[in-house]
Amino acid sequence: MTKLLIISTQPPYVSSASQDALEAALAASNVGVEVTFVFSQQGLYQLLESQNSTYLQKRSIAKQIKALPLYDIEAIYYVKEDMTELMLSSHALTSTAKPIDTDVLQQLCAASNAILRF
Amino acid sequence: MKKFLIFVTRSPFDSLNGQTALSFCKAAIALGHEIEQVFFYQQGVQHANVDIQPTSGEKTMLSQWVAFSEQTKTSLNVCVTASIKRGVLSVEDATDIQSHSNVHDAFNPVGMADYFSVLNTRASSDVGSLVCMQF
Repeated sequence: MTKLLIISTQPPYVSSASQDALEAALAASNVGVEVTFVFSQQGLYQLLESQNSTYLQKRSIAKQIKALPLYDIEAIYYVKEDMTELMLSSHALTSTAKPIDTDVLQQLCAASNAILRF
Repeated sequence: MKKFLIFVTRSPFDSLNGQTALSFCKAAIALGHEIEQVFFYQQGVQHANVDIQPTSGEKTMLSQWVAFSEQTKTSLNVCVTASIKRGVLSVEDATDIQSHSNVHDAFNPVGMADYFSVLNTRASSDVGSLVCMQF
């Protein structure tokens, strides 16, 4: 099975990058590609439980992330070092994503057939 | 020999990204490699937009892609979901909303799943020879 790694590095709503990454993940999973989704750098802001997109009239990024397992995307991670750097707490982030170290990210990169970075 | 899947994500005017992708494609072919397809996603869909007017004296990226595709028979695929949101309309999408289509004929409007199914079938049949490049 083809392994695709998607790395989402941008905060939600300020650009289309976070939405584009999620749509790419769903399309890939839909045709049987094994998707691993990693949040890194400012992409971790997408995982904040307390986000509210009502004012922006945009679909909630957090809700879409939580729905990923329904589409067979269960390997969802964030880079622990980036969490520390952004002074975020794991309690503030959705539990759908699990923490990994940068060396695990390197292993995931090496084990993937393709990588897309948004 | 490698087969490359090219993924273009930035618009032709705001970024040099597409130009770099095209130069890469030409260089790869010159060295005997193959370009499986060029896929346009995110703002990259603007490469297919016939309504974009060049600054005088400059060559458009569109004309360069069309010439490249004609010479090398490389497929140029543009993501329909990403493009409709950015005002780049295929004939079908334009008909639905009674507007004009502005995707160049040389570009195929496809679903993103098409791109990933190529990745799926190719990667399983010849592992290691397929390389995805994101620009």
